[in-house]
Amino acid sequence: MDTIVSVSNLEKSYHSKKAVAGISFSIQKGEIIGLLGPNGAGKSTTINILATVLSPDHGEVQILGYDLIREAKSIKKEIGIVPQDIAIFEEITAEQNVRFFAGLYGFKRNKLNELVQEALELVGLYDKKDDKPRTFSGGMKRRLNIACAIAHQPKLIIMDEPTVGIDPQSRNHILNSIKTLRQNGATIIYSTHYMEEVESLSDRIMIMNEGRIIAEDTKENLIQNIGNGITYTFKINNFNQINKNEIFQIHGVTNVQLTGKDLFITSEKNKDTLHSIVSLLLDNGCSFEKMTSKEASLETAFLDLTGRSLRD
Amino acid sequence: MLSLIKNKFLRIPEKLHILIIAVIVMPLFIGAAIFFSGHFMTSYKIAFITDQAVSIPENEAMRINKMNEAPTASSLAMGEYNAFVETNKNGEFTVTTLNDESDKKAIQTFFETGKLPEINKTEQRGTGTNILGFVLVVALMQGVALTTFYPDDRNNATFKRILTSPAESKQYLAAQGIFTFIGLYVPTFTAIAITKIIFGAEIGFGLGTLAILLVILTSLATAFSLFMASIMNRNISLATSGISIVTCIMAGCFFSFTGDSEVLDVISNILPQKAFMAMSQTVENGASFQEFAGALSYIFLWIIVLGVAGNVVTKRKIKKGVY
Repeated sequence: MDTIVSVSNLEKSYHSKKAVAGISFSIQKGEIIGLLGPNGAGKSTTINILATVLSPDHGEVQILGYDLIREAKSIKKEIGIVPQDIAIFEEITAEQNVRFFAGLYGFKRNKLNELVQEALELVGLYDKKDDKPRTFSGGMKRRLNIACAIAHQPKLIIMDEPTVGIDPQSRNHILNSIKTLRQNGATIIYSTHYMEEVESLSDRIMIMNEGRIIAEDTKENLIQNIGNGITYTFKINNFNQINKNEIFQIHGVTNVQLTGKDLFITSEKNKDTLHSIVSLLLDNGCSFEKMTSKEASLETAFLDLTGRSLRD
Repeated sequence: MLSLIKNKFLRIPEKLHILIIAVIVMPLFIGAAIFFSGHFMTSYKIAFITDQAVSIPENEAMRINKMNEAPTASSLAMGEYNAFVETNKNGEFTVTTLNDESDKKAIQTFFETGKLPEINKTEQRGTGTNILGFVLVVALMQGVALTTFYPDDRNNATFKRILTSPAESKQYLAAQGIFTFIGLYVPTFTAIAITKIIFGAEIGFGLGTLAILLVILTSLATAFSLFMASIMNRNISLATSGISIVTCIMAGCFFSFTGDSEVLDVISNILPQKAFMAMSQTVENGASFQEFAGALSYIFLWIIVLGVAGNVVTKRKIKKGVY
């Protein structure tokens, strides 16, 4: 397999805060990599560096064999960025938008016509090509946002939360478009807050937290290795009366996290820990409004690793 | 680069207010400037206070009202009169004016000799220079309106998106500069040329000379607007208009200005508008290239410095992740 992206010891700081703290990873040709992490995890900084619009402080990055610093222009020709913001021109038609962005790559007129049509068809907007985006729904604008990034047929596509705030129909259309792009040979880095999208699309998942990659594997392996168990969620009223370490001492408990009033306790799947946990809480004067349990999933794995839910 | 320029032209019809100002208001304003420039001949309105029978020679530059009693001093401040001239028993004239010393001397000389003193031809401001003074003010303010796509693109993240393509920030700025230049130059030149050719107005220059002077003028306005749009994030138009008006007044774009303050003189001499007005005046008076080469070089220096500074500021912002 060809390595499309190779990152080694990448660092980036804003003032004294490390947004990216020495991460390393590689991505192979044709892969879809799901990039997960809570807000402030360093995903957008990593994406901006890979998109060549932000210089790293340290580290080496190679994209398609080109060095990020010395050969940025060659990289730019081969990548397509779907930004988190809807970065399109409201004043011109959908076709003119796609034509403009694809035109920056220097295609001749006939080839450009062909590429613009293909991109609009892929995102399902060809019949709206003469309409201005101001008449579009949020989902249609998101689709146009994608068309503008892929019309020049990039080998690496970086998508930064491309489905934020859209209707299910547009989301499905986008997810299907992404699968088609992969079938056509593109490699995709997909950053999102929607766990189900990552689960349905990604070959591998990278979880970032506080500027570091804290896990990187297939979905199945992540759940197997990290999230294998049951997570109990208690809505606690007065957690101050109990020490987290006391819960950890219960045999079978593997993780304890508190987010606001939510107490998450992960336990090994086959251990009967629930009775002990509830007893401990009640013995210590803790009251809780409700309790739910959830079997191991990507979401519980994420929670185990970061101590935060994905949308925090 | 062509795509970047074309993009601005495709988007301009949606910016109706800018289009109206560029295509209608600006030419009208310029037409008005040309019309009023024809009435710029300096004339003094004098209140001549005397009870003697004194014969005063006639001159179109002197509009004299003879009277027995002096009007109120406020009539000087209100511009009703430029000067009071009184006679004493010895037949001597006393001039009271709020104008500068040179005007006072000119009026004094006229009453004593019947002639206005010769004005040094190179210091005389012609109609063409007056027109270009007005055009310069308008162009500096309109330039930033035409450069609005650059801050718009930053705010809408399209600028950042463009930077992820092979197009570089300097190409983007160059494209924006070309668009602003064309948007300023074409309506301005067309308006003046039409006023000259169709209405037969005196504009002080041949069309060829005017075309070249307008290239310099619009280049300066373009570089200034790119610089302002690069360094500022908000209220760009307001700040640019304020700076343009103040500096243009100091540089004498509206009327010839000589301050009593040395500091003001030093500052106004630094301004490129001052150099442009001086050059325009020199050209209108038919001087050779050598006589305005210095001013021309100075203006080009300003254009280059503003353009380069705008580019450097943009690059620095990009490096910091501010798009």
